Amino acid sequence: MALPQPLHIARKDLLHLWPETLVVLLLFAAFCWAAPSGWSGSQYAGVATLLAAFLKGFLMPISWLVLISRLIHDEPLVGDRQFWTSRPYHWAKLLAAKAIYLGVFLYVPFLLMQIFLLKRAGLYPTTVVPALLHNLLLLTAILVVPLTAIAAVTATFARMLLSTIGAMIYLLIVGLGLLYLIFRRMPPPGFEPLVLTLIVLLPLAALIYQYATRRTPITRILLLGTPLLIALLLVIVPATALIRRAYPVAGAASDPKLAPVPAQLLPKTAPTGALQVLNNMVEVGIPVATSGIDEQSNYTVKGYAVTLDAPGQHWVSPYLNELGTEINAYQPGVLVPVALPLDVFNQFKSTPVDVHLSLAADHLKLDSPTTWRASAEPFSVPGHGRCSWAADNPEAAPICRFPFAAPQPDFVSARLPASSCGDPESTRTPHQMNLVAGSSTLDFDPVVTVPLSFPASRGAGPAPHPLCPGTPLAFSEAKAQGKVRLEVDLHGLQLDPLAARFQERGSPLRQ
Amino acid sequence: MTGTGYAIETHGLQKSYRHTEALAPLTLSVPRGAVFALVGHNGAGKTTLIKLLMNMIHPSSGTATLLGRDITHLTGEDFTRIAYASENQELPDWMTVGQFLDYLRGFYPRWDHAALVRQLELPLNRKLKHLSRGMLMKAALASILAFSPEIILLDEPFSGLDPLVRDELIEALMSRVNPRSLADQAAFDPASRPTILISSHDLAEVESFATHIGFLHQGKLLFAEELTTLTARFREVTLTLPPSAAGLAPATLTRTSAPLPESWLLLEQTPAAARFVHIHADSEPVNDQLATVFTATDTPSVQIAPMTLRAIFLALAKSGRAPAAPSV
Repeated sequence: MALPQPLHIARKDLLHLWPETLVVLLLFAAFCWAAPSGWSGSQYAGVATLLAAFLKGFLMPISWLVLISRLIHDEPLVGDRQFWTSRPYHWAKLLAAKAIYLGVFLYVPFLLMQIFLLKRAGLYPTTVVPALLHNLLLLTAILVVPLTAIAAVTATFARMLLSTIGAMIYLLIVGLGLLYLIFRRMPPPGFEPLVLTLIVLLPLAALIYQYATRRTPITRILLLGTPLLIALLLVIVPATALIRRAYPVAGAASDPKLAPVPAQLLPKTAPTGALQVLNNMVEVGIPVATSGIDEQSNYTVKGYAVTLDAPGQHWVSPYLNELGTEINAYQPGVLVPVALPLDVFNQFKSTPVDVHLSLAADHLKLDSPTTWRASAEPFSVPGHGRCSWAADNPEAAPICRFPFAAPQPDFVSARLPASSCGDPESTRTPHQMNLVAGSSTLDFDPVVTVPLSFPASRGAGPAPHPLCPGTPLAFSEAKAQGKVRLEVDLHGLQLDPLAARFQERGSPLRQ
Repeated sequence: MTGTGYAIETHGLQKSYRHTEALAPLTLSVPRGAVFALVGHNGAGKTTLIKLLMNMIHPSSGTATLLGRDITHLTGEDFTRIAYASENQELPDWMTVGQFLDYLRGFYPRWDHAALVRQLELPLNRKLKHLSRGMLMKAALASILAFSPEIILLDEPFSGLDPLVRDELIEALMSRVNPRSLADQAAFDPASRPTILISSHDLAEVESFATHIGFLHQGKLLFAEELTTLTARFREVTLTLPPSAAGLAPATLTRTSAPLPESWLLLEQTPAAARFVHIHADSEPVNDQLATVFTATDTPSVQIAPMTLRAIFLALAKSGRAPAAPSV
């Protein structure tokens, strides 16, 4: 019984490419050995940790590049001298053979490696199946499809390597051009999945087209056009309208209220330092009073748009990215850093300006806390995490390991002694820490390590408070409640005193 | 299957690379069962034509069919009936001959290479990259004859081979067309005879077995027809006046004002002789044409000699024009 054609071709590939395949598998094994050394929570990297970084940053991607090149170039699609084009190969079956090979010798080992590492960390892979699959999707989007597509339009490894380098330079140029065109622009919500989908689908379509037709020049144009198309989409998309649609204006009684800051609190004159200008933009900190926010809510500003009006002058900005401004009940106001083009700033700086500020914010609300106990044995925490004390250093904070990312934002509260766990006289006081840790895009190691280390209280010295076995831990997870647009009109604002400036010794000063 | 009886048909098939025309619009029909020799100098467009037919490169214009299938729509399934081998084809040279043949076996519904391995004395355990040029071509030929194709396209298969290997290859190839041994002849089914298109720049190597011949020159097909009709209609005609008797003025041969017939090529003339190539000597009245074109003061002798294939091609190449013969 003859094998189906894809398996017949894949078997031939294994016969030919077993050395390259073996190297790829050995590197997976090496990473499985080296990666756990980075889970200690120590800031000092050992040899194994450095090896793991070298493996995932260089050796493994290079071995995949070689394997993909050799695999695709075994039946090259470029040229007119290859023997296979005159044989009863069916292009779809050939492509399937290559996919099977990569599936068996790249995807499955990658998946097994991540499962092994999760198990080794005491975590449960079955709880994070979507994340595992998402990582495979990222592997496909970032590495496999682009490299396979480049291999399909080149004839040799040397040409593929040069093309890959050329593609990286090309992407850099397109990215810089895009940055120039839409500097700091806020992408519309839902745009990132769309871009990721296009990044996978367009090269995949080009790859399939190349296998079906072997029209290399057209495929190359398709591949070159992919970043341009995505960049064009980012430039021409009606971002403001989409953002306004995704972020409805706050109108409910429970929504926060923004108001002007009393005039007497605003600076009247500009300080003497030089204006901070970055990429021809000036940052103006606009103060806004906030109220009506319940204590469990937090609003994270994702972007803002500003309209400036002065006698005979009118200027409107698009929505720009804003990172870091939080609006909650614990602060009476916020300073929204608004970037203005230098010429616009100069135009408006010397006259009172009516400012309309529109903030696009994500609403998060803390859930009721759940209590978990920090036992001397490894103990579970939310987010499918496991924490444990280091056997060789029980004085240190326990190390928590999470699959792919710690639940965030997630606040942990506990009552901790001031000095040591062994002191029964020590008064226990409440303390809080924020679990902030996530894996980078397509991290090979799915285990995220966070020390459960509570920071020292103000005035209590530099040492963190010890967490003692048996201490109850209260975890409060913040859940997304939706998107909202907060708007405020500020009349007669002087921009010049609010602009960011350098101190005379050169350090930045915000008024 | 096509109903036309032609294994290969092209209509205005043309290929250009930017501003260079590799193949001028070409119309050709090759009957089933023919052994069609495509000859021409290096760079004449032979390889381009074969690669177009195999859909290895895409035509700039025109259409073509192989076994009735549009060449631009050939699929893997079609290549169970179509075979191709070339002097510069990139084979998987990491394989041994045995691995290569075993691997290909998996693609074909019919496959038998045992007899070919014996006939061509192929070393099954040797890697393709360690084979000599002749042995590599033998392996390539075995890999295409093993599945009994209906059409075989060979691009310069004998180029650079020593005569012994070349004869072995021709023998293996021709055994599929006209078996030599009585036993093979008895078992031979004429309906299974494959059509063969073979390109070569060496006339001598194809003259012995081709049934049809086409001549490509600088991307243009000067003619394509059956070999027997070609050699029958080409004649070298020599007109010679007898030497003059002593004391008499020498006889002279002069041209009349009548135009030269279209079928005359490369006319050379001296006062006492004339020579040219007649491309339709089998169908046109040569002597009447001579009497119309020339006048002589004495009775000339006329020699009409058959031409070798090489002489025919040289004449055509020199004259730079097609002999106005219909396609086969």
